Amino acid sequence: MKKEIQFTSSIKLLCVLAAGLLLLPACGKTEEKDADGAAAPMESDEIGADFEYQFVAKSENGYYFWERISPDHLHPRLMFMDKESGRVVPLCNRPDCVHEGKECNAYFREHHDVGGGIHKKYLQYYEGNLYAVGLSEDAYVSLFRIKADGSAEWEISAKLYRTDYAATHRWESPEVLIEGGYAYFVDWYQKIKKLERMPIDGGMPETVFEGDSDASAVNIYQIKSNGGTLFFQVISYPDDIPENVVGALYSCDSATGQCNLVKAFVGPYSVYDGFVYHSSSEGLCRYSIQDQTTEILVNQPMNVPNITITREYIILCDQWEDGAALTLYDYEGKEIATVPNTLGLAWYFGGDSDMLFGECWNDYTALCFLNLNRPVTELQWEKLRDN
Amino acid sequence: MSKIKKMVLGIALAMCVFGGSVGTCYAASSSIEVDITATRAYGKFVYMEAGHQIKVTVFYIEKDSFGLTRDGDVSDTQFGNVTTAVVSKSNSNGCQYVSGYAVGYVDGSEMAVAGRAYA
Repeated sequence: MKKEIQFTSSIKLLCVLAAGLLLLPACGKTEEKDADGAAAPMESDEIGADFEYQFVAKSENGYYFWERISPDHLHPRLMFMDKESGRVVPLCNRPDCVHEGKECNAYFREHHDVGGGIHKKYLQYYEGNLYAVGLSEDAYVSLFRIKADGSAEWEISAKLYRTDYAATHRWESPEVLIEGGYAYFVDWYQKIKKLERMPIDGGMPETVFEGDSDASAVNIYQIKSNGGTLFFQVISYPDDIPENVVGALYSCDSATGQCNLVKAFVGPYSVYDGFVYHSSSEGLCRYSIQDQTTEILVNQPMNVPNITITREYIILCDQWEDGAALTLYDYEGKEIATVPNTLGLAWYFGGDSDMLFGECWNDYTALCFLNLNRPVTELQWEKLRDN
Repeated sequence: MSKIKKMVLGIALAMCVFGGSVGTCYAASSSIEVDITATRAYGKFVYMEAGHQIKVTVFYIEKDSFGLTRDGDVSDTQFGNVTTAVVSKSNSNGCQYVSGYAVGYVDGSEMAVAGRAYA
């Protein structure tokens, strides 16, 4: 295991952040039942993050993300957004640093560089550290552990599987999610994909779900976790006829690695407290995993929008519509507000009860956010940039 | 959605890139372009000085028939006397490209980026 450590003389800029990282989150889940017995999160409920993609890492104090490349920043940095102040800074604790170029602590070597490095897309915060995916020097898809204190200290924590990158110069970053001390991942090289897991400190991979070997292809998408349970979607292609494609949502107990079928459907979804929120030809649905019953919350056809569950709202984002409509509903299915896409939102990532994130485009791609703590009438997308 | 073709001419005159303990100065001009349609991702990077490793990567977003989104990339790398790297990839399996952008590399270091283009 290769470890790279860069010592710095002083720690000033992010000392408050580093101290905060030692704090463990207090996640007391409470809920109330509405008239129909369905879960409706309370004001004090810590509902956690509901990201469609692990491109923004939520911590106790804020959010980490990889900067997008642009002519002004050809060497994307690791950034931090303070939850309280909204301030965005490069994750570098060197007071003498101008935070530009490859010398800055916020810059990490890229996967295509000599010696391997990080693919600046996936990022997850777990028990005080950041985790990213990249290539090791010997071409293994690897989980990288990054200290979240701006010291640029990083190491390979687990080698997930080997690639033929040395011969082909090609590889695809897998979908990864850390839950319960394991990194769950899908190797994109396989035609019949399987969901595997490995302890985040390394070890032997364990297959927890394998697609139907009789199918011509099986894909596994949208790995999410809620309350210690992992959820993922499986799409099987029995042959080349599109009408024969079948898909389903599965769950996996992170303690036992046991997977079970939840519901036969494919498309964006969210899970909270035993309920699956998804869209269908009938509208926005809430499916009880325990009772196996579906309730239609919003009775109008939907064009498979992304769904985010927050403390106060069920949020639907249809990023493919012109104008990328973002609509907020309450837990009774009543529409609360629609937020216009004034910033060129092109890819919606989801978020938590405080912030939503996505990728916006003007001249170049950049991350953007929406502060849900603003009054409903003042909700708007804003650019996520260092200030 | 309308197709917008974006082309960016990046003049990298007097651009110095320092890697490790040895500084390498790149002074040639370069150009990069990207074009994304529903079925094709295309990128081209020209660096007007031979003898380098020239690479262009198109980073794209695609969606499948279920509305699920994922990203990916495709690259072309050239060595020796070649000054142009070109990449083109067609989509399949019912997926459609949605958008993408291109990055040009010289000797492994990012040199130019072309704005995102929409299908």
